[in-house]
This record gives sequence, structure tokens and C-alpha cells, in this order.
Amino acid sequence: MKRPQTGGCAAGFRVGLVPMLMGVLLAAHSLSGCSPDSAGAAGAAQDFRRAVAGGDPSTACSMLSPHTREEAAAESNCEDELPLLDLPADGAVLRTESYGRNAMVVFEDDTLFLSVSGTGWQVTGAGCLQRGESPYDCEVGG
Amino acid sequence: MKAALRNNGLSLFFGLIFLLALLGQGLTGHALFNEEQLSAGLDEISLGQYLTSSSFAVDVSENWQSEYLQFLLYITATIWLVQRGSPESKELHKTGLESDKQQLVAEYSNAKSPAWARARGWRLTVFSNSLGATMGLIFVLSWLVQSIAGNSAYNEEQLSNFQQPAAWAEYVASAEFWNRTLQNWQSEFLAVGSMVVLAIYLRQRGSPESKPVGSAHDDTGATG
Repeated sequence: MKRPQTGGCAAGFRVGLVPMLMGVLLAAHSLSGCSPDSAGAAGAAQDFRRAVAGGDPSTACSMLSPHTREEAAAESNCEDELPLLDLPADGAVLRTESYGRNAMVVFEDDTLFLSVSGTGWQVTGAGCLQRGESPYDCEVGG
Repeated sequence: MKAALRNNGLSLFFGLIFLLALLGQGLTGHALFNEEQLSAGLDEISLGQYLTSSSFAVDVSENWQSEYLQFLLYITATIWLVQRGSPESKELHKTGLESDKQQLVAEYSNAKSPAWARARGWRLTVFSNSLGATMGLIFVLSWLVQSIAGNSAYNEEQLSNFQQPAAWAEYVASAEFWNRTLQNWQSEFLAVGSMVVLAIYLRQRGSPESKPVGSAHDDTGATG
């Protein structure tokens, strides 16, 4: 006698559970900070590479985060140092991953790391190559 | 109004201190997050941005899931497991789901019994397990939110350290996820176990969580 009743209960339970689960997942997704603006990160990364390729270190340096710019200017100043580095400038975006206030944009030859600042995305690492489980090895930043 | 406050004092008190503690967690978490942002040479974020961040969500949900797991286990384990002398346990001979007569259901219900307790059927089954099921559902959902928000917070940190982010399936199998989970679980299990055992020998006059002060140590299930 009790079996069909329990089954009916379970069926009714699932009807309510699905929208509830979807609601929680949507809330979790919005709270997870996924992709604040993936396209913006990819755009900023491409702008940086265009500035490097176009021989415009001043613009490229202005797109670095202050912390990274300081590192790039360790020897003299960023505008003089950046053209000396072996930064890939060609290649398409393969994928972008962004979580919270950080993103990585993977190109064919290297990866750029970016972080949200008050005015948009700033590059925190450029010319980065994967080294297994270790942090990426970057020409700038890292 | 005064009577309403008095009649609901326990839930109002815990509701209020919950909100105050959550506010405190939000404010101190925001300050800590910004300290870390500054030390990494990054911009500070607003309180609103922090309260909707994965960092805050994972910190809140990882504690919620463990609390609801604690109550789920306690509610269900005490159906079958007893502890001689503990007011947290029922009497030793009452293990199990008990009879309909003891539970005041169906033909043994009374005029004040909730409607779903009066008739047999799926409603009685649901209502008979509604407390454990609700605690279990909140536990599962909180744990799910912890895994999603935790994955995002973990990946945000991975990216800030120039490391590869992890997929959700990788994250839920990671040491980070299980360390966050188990450090909460162990403290909950210790607290419940301590309460069960300490209440055998110690008393708190007037509290229903304690036996009456003069009760014998081997009195089981008595509350006062």
C-alpha cells in the first residue's frame, strides 16, 4: 500500500525541486562572479598585442597594471624595456576564461593574464607560457 | 506586540544575532579582501561587489552546509541511536520510528494535529519526514553553492597567481574543496558529540537542553 504513495510523493517532490535547484544554481552562478566581462578581457588583451605589434610601447605600458608596469620598468622605464622583450604579437584568441576580477586570454603563441581595475581590464602578465602545474612563465609580470 | 516578542523570543534572538554576525562577516571579509588586493597591487572593491563575490558566497555557504548537515544527522541518527543518560537522546526502549499511537498520527491524531498528520497517505509520509528532508535539502543546496562559488573563488586566485583554473569536477575532487568541507564538518561533529556526552553529567538549570538539576546521571531523555 505504501509503495505507490511514496512514489507519488517523490514525483511531486521532483517537480518542486527542479526549479528550486535551477534557482540556486543561477544564484550561485551569479555569486560565483563568473565572466564579469570575458569579451572585455579578450578585447583588452588584443588591444595590448596590437600596441606591441604596432610599435606603440607607450600605449602598451598604459594597459599594464601599476604593479606589472613597475616590474617591467625595473631596469629603466617601461616604454624602453617593453620593445626589448620577446612578446608574441600575432595569432588569434583561442579561448578566454574569467573568474571574479581576473581573466586569462589564451592566444596561439602565449597567454595574457588580466585583472579588473576601476577603468576596465589591465594586463598583469603577458608573453606567458604554461609550465605544467607550476605558474605560467611570463615575459612581463608573473 | 509585547506578547508576540516574548512568544517568539528564541527565534527572534537567533535571527537577530545571525544577521549581525553575517553583517560582521561581510564587513571584516571586505576589509580582508581589500588588504589582499592592495598587497597584490590591485584595486580595492566596494562592499557591494564583495557581498556578491564568490569569495563571500563560498565562505557563507561552507558554514551553512555543515550546520545543516549537523542537524540532518542529529535529527535522523537520534531515531535509531540512543545515549544512556543524555537528555539529547530518547529513552532507550523507544528506538526506531515509534508507533502511530506514540506519534499521534492518523486515527491517533487529535483536533489540533496538523492536517497532513491526520490521514494516511503520501501527505503523512512527507510530513513525517519533512524536518529531516528540509534540513537535508538545504544541506545539499548549500554544499552545491559552496562547490560552485568555491570553484570560482579558487579559479580567481589561480588566475591572479598565473596558474591554470580548474573545472568544477576537478575542484570538487580537490584538496581545497575537501579541506574547506571537512574543517567545518569536524567541528560540528565534535560540538554535537560533546553536547550528547556532557549533558549526561552536567546541568543547566532551566534549559530544556539539560536534564533537571536533580536528575540522576543515568536518566535518559529527560529535559528540564
